[in-house]
Amino acid sequence: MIERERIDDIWSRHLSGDCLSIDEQQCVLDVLERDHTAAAELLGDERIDGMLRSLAESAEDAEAFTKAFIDRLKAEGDGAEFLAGLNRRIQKEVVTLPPTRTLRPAHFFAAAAALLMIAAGVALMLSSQPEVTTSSKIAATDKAPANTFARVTKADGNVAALNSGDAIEVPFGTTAKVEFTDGTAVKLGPASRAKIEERGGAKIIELGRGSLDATVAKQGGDKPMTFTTPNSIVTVLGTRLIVSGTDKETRLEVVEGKVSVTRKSDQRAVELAAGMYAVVSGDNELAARDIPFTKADEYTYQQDLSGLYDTQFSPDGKYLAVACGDAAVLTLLWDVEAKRYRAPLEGHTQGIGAVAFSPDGRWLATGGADRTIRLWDTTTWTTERVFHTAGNGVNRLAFSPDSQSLAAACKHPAIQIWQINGTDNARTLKGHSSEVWSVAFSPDGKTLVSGGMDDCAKVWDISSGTVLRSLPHKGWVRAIAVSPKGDAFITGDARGFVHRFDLKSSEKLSSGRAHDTFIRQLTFSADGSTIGVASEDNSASVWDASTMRQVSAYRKHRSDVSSISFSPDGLTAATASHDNTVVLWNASTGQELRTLYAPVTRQK
Amino acid sequence: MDDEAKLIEQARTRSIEAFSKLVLLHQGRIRAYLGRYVRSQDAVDDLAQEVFLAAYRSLDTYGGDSPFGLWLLGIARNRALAFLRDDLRRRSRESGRFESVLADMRSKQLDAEAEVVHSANEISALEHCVKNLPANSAQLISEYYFNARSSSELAKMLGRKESAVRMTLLRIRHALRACIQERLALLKGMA
Repeated sequence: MIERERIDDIWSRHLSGDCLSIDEQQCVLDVLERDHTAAAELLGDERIDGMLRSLAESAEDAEAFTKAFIDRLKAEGDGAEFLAGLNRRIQKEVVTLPPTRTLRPAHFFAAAAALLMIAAGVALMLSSQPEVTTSSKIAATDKAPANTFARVTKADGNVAALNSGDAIEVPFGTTAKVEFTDGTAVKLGPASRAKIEERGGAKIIELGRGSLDATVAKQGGDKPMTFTTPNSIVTVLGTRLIVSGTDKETRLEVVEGKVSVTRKSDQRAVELAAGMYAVVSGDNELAARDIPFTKADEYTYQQDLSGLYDTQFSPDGKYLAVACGDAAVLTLLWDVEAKRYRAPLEGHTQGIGAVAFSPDGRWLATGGADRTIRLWDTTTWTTERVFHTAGNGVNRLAFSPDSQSLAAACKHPAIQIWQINGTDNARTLKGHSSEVWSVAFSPDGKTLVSGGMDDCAKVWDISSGTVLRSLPHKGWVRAIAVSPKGDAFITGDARGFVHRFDLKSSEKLSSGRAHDTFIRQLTFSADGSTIGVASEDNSASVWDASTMRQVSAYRKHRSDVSSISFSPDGLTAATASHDNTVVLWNASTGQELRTLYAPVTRQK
Repeated sequence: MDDEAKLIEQARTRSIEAFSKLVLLHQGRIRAYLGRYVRSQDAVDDLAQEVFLAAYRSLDTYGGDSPFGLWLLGIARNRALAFLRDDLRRRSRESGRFESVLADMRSKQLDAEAEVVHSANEISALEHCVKNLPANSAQLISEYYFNARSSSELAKMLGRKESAVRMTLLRIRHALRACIQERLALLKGMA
């Protein structure tokens, strides 16, 4: 009986959003798995609790919900965008769609069925006729079309034929390779959209979005291959090049051969030789420039990485370290003064999720999916120590204020702390019941704060390794930071809210919505006057720390912004994104200073 | 033709205004249905939006042979199942065992509920039972769920321990559950 009362107490705390300890979770698990009657009661209780919450919400904001729905309906259109979203969600692979087809609601199920067939691996070319009316019509086109002139290889290795005029949409996280019969190969980067055409024997690729990396076979002199973007035309005869950009800006890099690029607005053109790049935008100076690598012959831009996950300025402001989440295996170092990437730091065997400079500037720590943390000497940039993590690697790293210890938020429910001059044996702080996402030290080094996938933030006493307080949140806590004064700490939640807590009492001081969705990282400027916020809504922002009013917003990235860091003088902010770019901003005005395009990797 | 049928006819001609009235009419039940198994209120709202989007786009396939609300619940069931299966996969991969086991149980329970009419009746029964709670219980439920007061706030207001407030809420939910079962049995007997 006492046991059941305890379970009821734990369960009622669970339903009210409290964070349960590992022992308490185990108690509930024992009941759920052993006693079917009790399990049915607990789940029945959870169901009623859920219904009551939802009924309360719907009574509260019925009109707001309906308005939000109408806005969403108008924004997403009648079906085409919805299909694209469905495609991204269910397939995670390449789908070719006829270029001008409009989908009426009545045809939705037929088209969805076709998409599902593709998802199941059925080789299928949709008709390029403007409308599809029945599913049998779609099935009838499942034959090699007469005018096939290229093929596309999807992420899973499946191959589909391409007709002139077909459009390709590549989901995030994957790439697609288009190969023409003459050997020309075009690799489309993640989230790219392109239309492939043949006009009068000349190949034309219209890049609507994303990036491509092309190796062009020698073309006939009067039939050059052309790549168009919203604001430029790139004409090539036989070379290797990389095109990337947005509807406002296009970047062209030439790896081999010679290419000319023409700005559509004023027809100004410039020729680029191998090792050069040009950026075409509204009114910039259109010029060929050298690709700014330390060793341009050894490194080239990589367009299809898995994203950038963390970035931090060194304490002296000379370097910006960038964590690349790809098996391309690199930590990147942007030399602020030279305005170029240094040779990447090589050593990890899988992608990197976190970087952190020690406050004294002596060390750079990098944590990877290879379950190691490497400690780099910042004078020689060589690995001095390798620590081994438990579980599946590291989400965030933080040095203690005296630079003597290093804490890692791990991909299993623990925080590990190493002494820099100690052994590989880490102290382990257990308390989170799920993956730990974020970790930060207080300025006096006595307290640690952390956030996790268990929807909790925790305050730890470092000397005893005990949890002082657990603070439930709505959704994962992926971001946490302590103010330089040590009076408060902030957390970012899954709904885009930033919460400010008193560090001593853990009392919530304020809450406010900074973004539409997940906050990925929070950082204070060195003087504590501003807070940088990185979000999965593709933007970042800077807020006045005392008033929590927005100072500036950074909007340029095309995917999640995973990280934000201020330069030590507070004048510059750097944001890293899953779109594989780092953008440097004027911290207070939000003006873009420079975009560091896709990171570099050694050519294979 | 009743009002709802008229709205459906107008919505079939792509009248967003007519469909928005249908959304307003049904959003409560759809969200309550989704809330039965989906714990995050944000996810409930997102899923509910998707249910109405899917309904709007496939309105031509609604034949009118079952109530519109049940047709919507059918869409909601499919969405909730897909969400729970995704959630289960994610939690198995990324979370601790506690979340994984709960996600698995929720997914299996919803999967076993083939008839959405039962769920619709359950929601109606809950609404009825809440209205018929004793005054003290009704007030506590109202303050906790509808006025979003936390158990610690309520404990201060009532001069009780927070754990006592939580246990009282638990007992009221148990009472609601018993009331729902009685009412469902009554409905079954009448059918």
